[in-house]
Amino acid sequence: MTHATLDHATVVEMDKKQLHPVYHPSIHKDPLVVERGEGVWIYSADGRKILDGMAGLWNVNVGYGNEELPRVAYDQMRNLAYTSNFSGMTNPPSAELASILAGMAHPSLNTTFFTSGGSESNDSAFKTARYFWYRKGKKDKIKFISRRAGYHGITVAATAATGIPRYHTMFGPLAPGFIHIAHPLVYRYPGDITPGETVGQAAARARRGDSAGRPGYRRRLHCRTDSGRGRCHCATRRLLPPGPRNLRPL
Amino acid sequence: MMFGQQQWDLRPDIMSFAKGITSGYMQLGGIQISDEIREVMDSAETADMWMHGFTYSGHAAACAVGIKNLEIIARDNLVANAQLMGERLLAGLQKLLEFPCVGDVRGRGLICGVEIVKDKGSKEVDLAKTTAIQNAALARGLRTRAVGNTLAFAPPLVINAEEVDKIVDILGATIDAIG
Repeated sequence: MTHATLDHATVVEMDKKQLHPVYHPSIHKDPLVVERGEGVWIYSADGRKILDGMAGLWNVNVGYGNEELPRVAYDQMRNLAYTSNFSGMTNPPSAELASILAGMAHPSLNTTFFTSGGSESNDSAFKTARYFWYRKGKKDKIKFISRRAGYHGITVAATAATGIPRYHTMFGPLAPGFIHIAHPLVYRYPGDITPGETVGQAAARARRGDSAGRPGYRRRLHCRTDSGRGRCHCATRRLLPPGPRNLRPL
Repeated sequence: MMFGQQQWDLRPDIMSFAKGITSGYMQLGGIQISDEIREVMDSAETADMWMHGFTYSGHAAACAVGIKNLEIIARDNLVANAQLMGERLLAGLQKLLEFPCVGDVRGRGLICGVEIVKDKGSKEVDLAKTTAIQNAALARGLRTRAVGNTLAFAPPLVINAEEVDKIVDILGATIDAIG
């Protein structure tokens, strides 16, 4: 029996034993049972054809139903699906991928550490940043600054970095050391903003003399973070670009 | 540009990545670190070694899929297609600003967001209508995702012009029906 032979009702019945991410029963009464995909299209067990405007969760870049990826997965699994990759051991695909990625995103980024997803990646980044400063003799340099309304993942540290209160409320206490600052969404900036200007530029202009390069800039940013309690109070989650021009001075 | 941070003049010390590296065909993510951080690891005493890592770090099959996925993205010019189709999608969605409940439409590359509000002047968010539009669009054959009061769009990079127009058409008809 293959999974494709299960009808909609059977899957929904069996699925009652599964707990899904960000779960509430009201949004899972009649789940979409996705059976297969082709290009940008997904096909449900009850016979519907749906254009997936979200590529799964922002990630199915090459589209559904690709035939080359399963072929290399099959070949690699037949050879060696997995073994320990801890220091002292490696395998050809991870070495080759690290080599391909070296310098690809930026000339300074030549070493890659692999995880199984973004939350693990961000936790790894936080620990590595703290490790760096620990090794540099600055053990107190442990704070992370992230944006309100920004999503950074769901592991314990990534949850604290995420600037969306709904993800925090029922899971306290949050991991310490995470500070949230204003988000860069032009549409929601309450002050005066000129076309083409970023929120950070407008905020800096509003505080005349608050030049990005000056030492006081960082302190003022901290002042906007709800007394540094690591909690933020934005009303909603928003999809927005990061606006890194405002981050560089940090 | 393959990486979001390349859109700005950044000098990253650490970069997280995941999601698109395998197009979701296997689970894989990671971080990249600067040469300066690598040097700090390489010069540590064993007592200070970097005691971090996961069972599935460097999973052989996942990495093999990652290699092929990057090859396909380059070979099929998917970054250029994402840029082109993203411009078309953003331009199409911006036409929906004529609806009273569409407060803002924004996008970069092939990621777009459509904010649903109760009133354009007050910009008050309308979470109930956002969810209603999401569910009604699905019934009409389009999957979007309500992120707060923003409807998110990030279709596969292989999308073509006809399919981009379909997103705009279905969303427009949905909002028109809901009002």
